[in-house]
Amino acid sequence: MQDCLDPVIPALYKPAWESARASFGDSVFFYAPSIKRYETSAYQNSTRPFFIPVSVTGGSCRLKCDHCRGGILKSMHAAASPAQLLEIGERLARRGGGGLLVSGGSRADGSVPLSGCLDAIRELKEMGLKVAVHTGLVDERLADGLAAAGVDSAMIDIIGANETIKRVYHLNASTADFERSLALLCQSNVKTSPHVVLGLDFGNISGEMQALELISNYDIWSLALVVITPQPGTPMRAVVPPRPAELGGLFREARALFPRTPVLLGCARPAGDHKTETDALALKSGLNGIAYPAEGIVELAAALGLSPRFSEHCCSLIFQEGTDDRAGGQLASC
Amino acid sequence: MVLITAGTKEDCRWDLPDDLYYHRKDHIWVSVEGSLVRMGLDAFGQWAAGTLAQMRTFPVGRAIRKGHAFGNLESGKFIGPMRSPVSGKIVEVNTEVVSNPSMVNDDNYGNWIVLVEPSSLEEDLADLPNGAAAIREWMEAELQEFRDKDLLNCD
Repeated sequence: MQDCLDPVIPALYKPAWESARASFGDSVFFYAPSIKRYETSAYQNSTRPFFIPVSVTGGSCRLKCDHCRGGILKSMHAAASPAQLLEIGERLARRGGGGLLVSGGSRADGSVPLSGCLDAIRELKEMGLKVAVHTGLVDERLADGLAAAGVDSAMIDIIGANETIKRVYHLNASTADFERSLALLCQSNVKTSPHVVLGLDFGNISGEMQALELISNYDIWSLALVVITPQPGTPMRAVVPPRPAELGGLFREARALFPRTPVLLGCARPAGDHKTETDALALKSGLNGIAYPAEGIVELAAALGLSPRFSEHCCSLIFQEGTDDRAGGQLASC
Repeated sequence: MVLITAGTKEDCRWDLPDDLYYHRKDHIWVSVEGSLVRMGLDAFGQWAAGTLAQMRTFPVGRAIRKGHAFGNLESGKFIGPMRSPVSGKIVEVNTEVVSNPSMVNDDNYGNWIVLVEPSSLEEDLADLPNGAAAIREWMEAELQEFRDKDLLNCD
């Protein structure tokens, strides 16, 4: 365990590390949005909500994918109507908050019912809030609507294997449908931040590389990698996530495919030693940012010569860093 | 037993035994058992944290100080330290719970975390809520703070 926190770049990781330094210099970003209260020796987020997740379907989801079964929605603020979404945003803005992740459960066709919320999203933007959305599959109309509403970032999970879409999402769709959605978002000039769930197929690596290669054909603004995390009460409660070394391999591949696009390790990944090792490999692979870094990782970044920066926004908004001074949070006094 | 409720959601109901003492902010309960104290996460604390995924504690024999960490926790809605309500020395760790922390979500009072030999118990307990009236007063203030910060999410 301790080895992974040694400030040494292994030979296998040097090309990725050097590529990142050449493109991005020595900055690395750490994120702690208000989805979780976060307090480590290096950083703590504010005790008031700053960037909050909201579900436009409350706790309901028709897909009930095997890795989540809608459980993730339960920890979000529920907005049963556009008026409620606005109310939540107004309250947040009044208290000096920075933005929202507008998410929700999926319909049976893999889409998220966002079209009724577009006017509300436009109003949230007029309040000065940042708005990231989880889109699911989109059609042309929704892609255009998101662009017109001015969303800051559209996040879409891209799956690279048809079997995984059927087995895990129980969705009658193919990788081509996910690619079409990504293409529509990009064509509509929505700043798109695809996500890839590593190990989504019950902990196995199958289709992740295909997903990364597919995404690399599009003009995206950031890429977030997350790791399957067994959730109690789901068919995946006992799956064994990919080993950190396997994840490190995918981090390096992602860095090589996206040499000038920010690549991040997003919110979801297993906790404990697995997380420490994964986070350390993310840094050594030259990823641009990490959400909720494990204890010791910020210190490792500094020891590697990087300049850590902190934000309470959603990590998908990394391309806006430096444009907003309302980042929230504070460095721990120690 | 004190039952605290908020909003309409079914899970927004928290039992707080009135014979225990409580850390006001970190929601660690303390049970005085002879010359030792047992500690765990109270019902509101486990609700606010969400599903517990990872727990670490200091080892047996380690001195701990009131208001300072005796371990840390990672859950669906929290990453951070567990602060001790009392000073003393850890004499036993519930290793079963530490290796499977979601047991706390199933039974937060049965599944204790550490057993501690306190060093200044009377002084340390003096400012901790205990007894029905004090627990109710403390929790009402705590719920109001959560409401003010829009963190209660119970309707």
